[in-house]
Amino acid sequence: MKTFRSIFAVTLLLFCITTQAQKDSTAGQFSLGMRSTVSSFTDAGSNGLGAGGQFWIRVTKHMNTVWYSDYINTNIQSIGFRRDAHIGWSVVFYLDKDPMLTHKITPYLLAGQCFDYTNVYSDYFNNSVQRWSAAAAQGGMGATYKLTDHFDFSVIALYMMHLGKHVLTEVNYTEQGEKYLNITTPEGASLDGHLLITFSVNYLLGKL
Amino acid sequence: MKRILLAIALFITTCSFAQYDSGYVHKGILAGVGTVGVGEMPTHNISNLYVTGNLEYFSEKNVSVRGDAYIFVNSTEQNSPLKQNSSIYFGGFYHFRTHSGFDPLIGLQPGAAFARTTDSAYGKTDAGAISPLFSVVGGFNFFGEKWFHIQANIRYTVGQESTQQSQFNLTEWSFNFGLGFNIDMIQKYKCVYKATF
Repeated sequence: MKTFRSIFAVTLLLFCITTQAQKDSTAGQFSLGMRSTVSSFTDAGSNGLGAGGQFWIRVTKHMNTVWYSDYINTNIQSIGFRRDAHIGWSVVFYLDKDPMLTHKITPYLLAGQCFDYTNVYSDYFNNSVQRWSAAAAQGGMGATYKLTDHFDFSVIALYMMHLGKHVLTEVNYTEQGEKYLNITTPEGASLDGHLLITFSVNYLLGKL
Repeated sequence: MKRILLAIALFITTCSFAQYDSGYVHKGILAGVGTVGVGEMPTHNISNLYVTGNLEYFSEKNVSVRGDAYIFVNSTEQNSPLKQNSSIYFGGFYHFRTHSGFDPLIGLQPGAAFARTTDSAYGKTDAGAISPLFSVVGGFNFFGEKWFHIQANIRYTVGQESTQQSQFNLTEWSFNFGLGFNIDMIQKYKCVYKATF
């Protein structure tokens, strides 16, 4: 049911974009880009690194949408690891009066939803936990600098909350003093998540 | 006669301006390079050899999109734990304007590596894994001939191989230098080309 709702929401958003595109000269602009993501504030203090791609579909002068996929790998203190796969989208609200001008920084806020797969592994007794979630929500801010009319560099920082099953990782120590990664899945909903900082280069291909 | 003189004057002016305005680099160049590269992993103090190549298209005068491939040959150290580290990258480059065929560039290329080590655990050796990579590239092209150019790159790559058997840091400085082939996909800069070379 959650998946159906998400698909319905995405379809509705695409319909709105198409309708709006007829009214605004910047609406319908399509950009394609590659991205690198740093994941932090999770997994016992370890930072992860990811790579992925994205495209942007502009709705109005002050509103854009970004659709992305990421694959993130985190080494957890060399006693375990975590792999995340994200497919999601965000709505971008430009804060500038005249956004996305060449040789100018454009700040913005963004919020959206994400499909999430997580696999956490611990060396301790060869233990691993997987989680699928269609209900991860994210919000944050970013900035884009347009180097040319078509080419830009963007930095985005957003916090992603996984609304599904909670996967908790803790570093514990054995009686012999060796550290190990303990993975638990506590009952009940949780708002655990991670901060994602994304660097990307994008190229404006044209209008849809 | 006046029309002919006017046309010649216009032609000379255009070519002179073009010579002053820029070098050879322009929109529409498709360039490819195949060469060997060396990498240094400071975390493990090992050096690696690669066969590497890239394909680059100038979508604008100072912007290109480029894909790179690095095929791992071997480490130069005999006892290196790294047995595979082939990778691909794709991203965008910004080219600084010059008035010659010299083309300094900087780029951001996310990528992915397939890495494998000799590590083992739980009765199995490391089967390898695909790991995401972050890389920044600095370097230059030099377009000295119609069809050929030389290229040099320094790349800083950050990554981590994580499997049940191995946790291997893939962070690496790599360097490659080689001869490349280029063709003009858009033939509208013939005047600039003839005037420059």
